Amino acid sequence: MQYKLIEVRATSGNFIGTVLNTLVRRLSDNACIPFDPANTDYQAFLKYQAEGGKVYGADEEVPADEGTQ
Amino acid sequence: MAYGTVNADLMTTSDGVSSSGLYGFKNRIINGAMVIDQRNAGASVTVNSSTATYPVDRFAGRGVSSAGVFTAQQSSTAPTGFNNSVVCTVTTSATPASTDAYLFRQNIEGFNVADLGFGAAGASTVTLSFWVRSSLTGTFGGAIQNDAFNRFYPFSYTISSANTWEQKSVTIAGDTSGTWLKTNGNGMTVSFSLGAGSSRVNTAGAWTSSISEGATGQTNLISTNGATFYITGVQLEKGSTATSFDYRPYGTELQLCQRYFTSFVGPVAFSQYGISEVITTTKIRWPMQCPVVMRSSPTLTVNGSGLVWAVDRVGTALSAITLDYATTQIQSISATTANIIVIGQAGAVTAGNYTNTSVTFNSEL
Repeated sequence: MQYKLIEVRATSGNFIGTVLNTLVRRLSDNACIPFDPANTDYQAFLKYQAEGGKVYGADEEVPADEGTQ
Repeated sequence: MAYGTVNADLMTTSDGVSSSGLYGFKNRIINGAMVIDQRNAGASVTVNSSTATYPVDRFAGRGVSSAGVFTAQQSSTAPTGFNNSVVCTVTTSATPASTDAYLFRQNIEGFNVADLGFGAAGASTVTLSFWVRSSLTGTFGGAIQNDAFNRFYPFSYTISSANTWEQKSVTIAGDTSGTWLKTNGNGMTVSFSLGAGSSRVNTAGAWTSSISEGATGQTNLISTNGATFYITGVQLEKGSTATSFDYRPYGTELQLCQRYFTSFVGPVAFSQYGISEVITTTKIRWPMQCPVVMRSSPTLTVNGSGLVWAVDRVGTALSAITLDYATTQIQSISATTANIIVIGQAGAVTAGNYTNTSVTFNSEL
């Protein structure tokens, strides 16, 4: 079970490129998990991260054998 | 003219008709009759890890290791008055190690048990009732737990005849200790044990802070290859009496389930999931609205062959499907297309020429 951060950026207006939202993708099934403390998938992500699990940055390349984006 | 009487739990009319056991929404369990199965449409699931795996809505199977494996599946084998059950079948037997636990459970949202007042003086007595049928006989176990996993009530019941439906009930004095969530978090777990090691069982019939996912002396179904365990009619209600099952309308039960999991399934090729707007030359965005307000902002998963963006009746596969913004009801989704497209252009998000695509939103406990 590995994860990759996703940044949602503004695509129009004066703030093009500004990060508006961050969430996480679970690489095993490509699920998108919002940063909601009540979401149990997010809770599992936080536990994984706290235990030292690898989390790919938003701009970091995921090796082909680690899942798809 | 004489009027009826009302107290906290009972209404009695002047001609003696009592509301005891007659009123609706008394069951704190959702999908207790195992009717709703949005995820699998009746197909079997395999439980071989600690990941919660759902054979029907709201009920999950869970193990702690792959040593023992069981399948779980919605079944049409049911006692009189019911049409469905869930059958758990052991496919790889194992003797549970001391900290192992195999179970079938439902987590109940705190809002739905807040009135029981657990964790304080005056906590209400509750009664758990259910129908079971197993290829094994003997004493079986289960437990009620809090979310903090430090308050437990192990219970036991006896299955007297193999492969025969039997109704069981357990009455439990409310817990006056511990923290029991009254929010959209897990207010209470009700679990039926299919196997538990020595460090996961305790004496039935008393509250304890020692981890208990089953009862001392219970039969471990997981230890017998091919053993079966059917269950349905699960009801948890306030009071010390098991009353008739609260059989709610299908649509109502489905909506109760959709608060925790919603699946949009395109039944035919080219089913449409939404109307999109082009937001960059390679990216589109579209909204999806869940049928009910979900428990939390949900997780998005696209299953099957994926989605296709169609404009002017030409389709292009979508990739990097992302939940840009999530609320408990409106979801904003974006995706990338290989085609060079015009900003502001509208198009349709479809299943393409596939019938196996589903878009799911999950906010289970």
